[in-house]
Amino acid sequence: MVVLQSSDGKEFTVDIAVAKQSKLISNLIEDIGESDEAIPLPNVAAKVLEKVIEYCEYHVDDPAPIPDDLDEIPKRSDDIEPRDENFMKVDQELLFEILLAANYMDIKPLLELGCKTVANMIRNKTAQEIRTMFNIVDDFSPEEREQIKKENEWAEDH
Amino acid sequence: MDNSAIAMLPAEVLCLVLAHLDPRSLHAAGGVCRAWRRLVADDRSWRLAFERTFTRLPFSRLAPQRMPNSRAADKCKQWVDDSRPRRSSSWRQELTDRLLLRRSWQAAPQRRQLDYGVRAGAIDRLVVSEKHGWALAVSLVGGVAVRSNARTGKVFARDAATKDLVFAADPPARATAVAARIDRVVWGLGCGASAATHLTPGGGLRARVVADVAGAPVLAVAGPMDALAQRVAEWPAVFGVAPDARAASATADGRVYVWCTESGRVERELRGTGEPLVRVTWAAARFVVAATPGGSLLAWDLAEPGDGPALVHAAAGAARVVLLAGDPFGASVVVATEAGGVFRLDVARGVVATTFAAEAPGFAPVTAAQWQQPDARKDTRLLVVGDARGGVWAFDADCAEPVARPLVAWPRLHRRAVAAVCANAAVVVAAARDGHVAVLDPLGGQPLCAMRCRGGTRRGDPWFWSLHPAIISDHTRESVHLAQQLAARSDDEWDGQVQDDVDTLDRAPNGAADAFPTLVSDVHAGFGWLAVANGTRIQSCFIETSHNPGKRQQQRKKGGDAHYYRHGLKREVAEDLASMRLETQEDRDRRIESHERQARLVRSFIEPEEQLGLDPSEQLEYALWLSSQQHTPEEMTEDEQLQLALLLSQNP
Repeated sequence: MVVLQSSDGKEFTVDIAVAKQSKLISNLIEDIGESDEAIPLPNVAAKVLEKVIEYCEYHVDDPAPIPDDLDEIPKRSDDIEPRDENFMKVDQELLFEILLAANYMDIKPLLELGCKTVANMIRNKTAQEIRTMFNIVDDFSPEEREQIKKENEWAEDH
Repeated sequence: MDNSAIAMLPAEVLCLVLAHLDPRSLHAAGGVCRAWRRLVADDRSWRLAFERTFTRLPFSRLAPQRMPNSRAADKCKQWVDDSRPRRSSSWRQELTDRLLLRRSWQAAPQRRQLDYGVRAGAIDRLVVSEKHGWALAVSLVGGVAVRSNARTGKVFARDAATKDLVFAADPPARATAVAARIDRVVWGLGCGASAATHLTPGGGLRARVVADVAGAPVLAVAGPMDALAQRVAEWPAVFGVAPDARAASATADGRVYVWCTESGRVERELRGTGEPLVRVTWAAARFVVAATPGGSLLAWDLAEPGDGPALVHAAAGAARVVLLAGDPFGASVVVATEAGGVFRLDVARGVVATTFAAEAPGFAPVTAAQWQQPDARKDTRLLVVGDARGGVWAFDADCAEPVARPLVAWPRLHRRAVAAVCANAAVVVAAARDGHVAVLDPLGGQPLCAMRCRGGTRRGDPWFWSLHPAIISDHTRESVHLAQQLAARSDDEWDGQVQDDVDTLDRAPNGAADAFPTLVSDVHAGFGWLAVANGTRIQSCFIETSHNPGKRQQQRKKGGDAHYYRHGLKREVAEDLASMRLETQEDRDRRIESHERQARLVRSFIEPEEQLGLDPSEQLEYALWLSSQQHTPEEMTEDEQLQLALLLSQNP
């Protein structure tokens, strides 16, 4: 067992196999050996860490990812498992925090899942719809906007 | 962006997100805000999107003329047959271009099909140039080359200057071999002479030059090399004049004559082993390579004096060489044998450089192979091979490995032997013996469009089932898989059947095109068009990106299509009759006989739908496909209507 400590001081005790899905923790354990001391994760808040651990516990038995191959067909983004999809049904802020945590803790499948989820939110939306969804401010000058309109003409034609 | 949650994501993570997007969404994302625009401007996102869309990076960059969105008339002009495509400047551009091209190939309502007889006899070679606007069909049997308008199908006016170009129709000088380029046709004749005919871009003038060499019949000719090869530095050292004026003829007594197509003068006489030479080609403009029926390969180095072969190689074993294709840029030649082997022979070193091998169980006998059309850039070039089981394989032709694996494979694309293949930077076209033509995307492996050369009405069409179901239904990976399963269901029976069929076809006297005039003999494709020599006719297909389909729709409303169809058929019959006059009585009898034999063969093979073991969803697909064909319900017989209704009712 290994103890993980979130940024707000909360401690989580998890199985080593579960924790090792994070490359960060796996490397740490290899370097310093197993210890009862809590591993601090200063960038990850408790509610995020909880979700991350939930994901890792569910996916603990997944086969090791196939190493990158040149011939490998790029993964599709619409093949998310229903359970993972439900797992990702959280508010935007938490979703992005999970992404950040996955990036920081180096959990490839979770990062991939998060990216796919966000990509699916963006897909088939117009720029304005994306702005509204993510509450992004349009900071283009009128000239830039004209330029963008020109570039995208082909896409609207078809 | 202060109150935006997504702003917390660093650029690297946002890049990973964008990598999952399709091009259209990427475009939209680029218009969200400045920060996103910077990310989208990074070509790496587009490269990832490219791989995701096409699953594979291009073997050579495409960059065709941007697809015009304007008027149809401009379109024709802009579909220039640019043999030297410009390299696209970015992955974004490359992706956009390819997507546009792919979309227009797939957009069925905007494809224009053309079917016209050229009265040339059975067509052996077909060359199309969008730049000149010609289709040049060459017939050995008729000894005729016919030029016609590639867009309308009209044969050019038959006045004294521009009538069909007849070369060797009479028995004593019967044409035996032909090589064609858009501006020149080179003939080998039964009397041992060779002839070259020049066509000028203006359209009127023609000049005929005969290289008169008394000797054995010419069995193969290698036409002038493409002007592109002029870039090769070795050319001037070997020849005093333009390299694209040299042709080589190989004769039945084992000699090769190198002669000038401008003057008719024979410049070199090369001596072989005495065995007849049945194939000949150029390699790197410096080597002449020929093959004997026994499977030996002979090569002469023109830079060396002396007439003996510099190299005699038995790599092909005892197998008949079906194809010999020289590399215009390097000293190598690709050899395909009847036994199924395809390899690249390094002529300078005299060793087999690369063997092209498909995955187990390997090729059936190779029936067609072609290099990607010449391209000034020496990027990866495709070598496309079609086999007797209907499989098509694309290789990296310049692969440096001893054994090359296919870049893309379509193991059971067609249900008949592949008759002709064609590849350029954008598409691979494979035509089966039965007249089915598939346009494929070599990067994603998907079928883009299918065309069926007309060989009769659907009711009497014995080839109905020969089209691969993947093309009928969805263009998805899954459907290809499904189709493979379908095709694999009765493998043994199937292979036996195909093998028999191919045997009959290949062993037919005077070659397949002669014996089966309705079957495909040659294909030619550009970025936006393809043309198929289909016996005595040419069927071509153009893609159009017009957004003004009003006129066409109006025609359809008036029932113009059915009207045209009936009249088209009538005219076709008349033209077929006319073309038959070029055949001797003997040829005609043989042709009719082989037609009947072929029809019998196929009829015995057709199975009723139930025995095909289709499940309901497949039956539905079949029914939908039927209904999407050109035939309107009125043209169906009662039987067919009943069948269709039954199929549909089983799948509510």
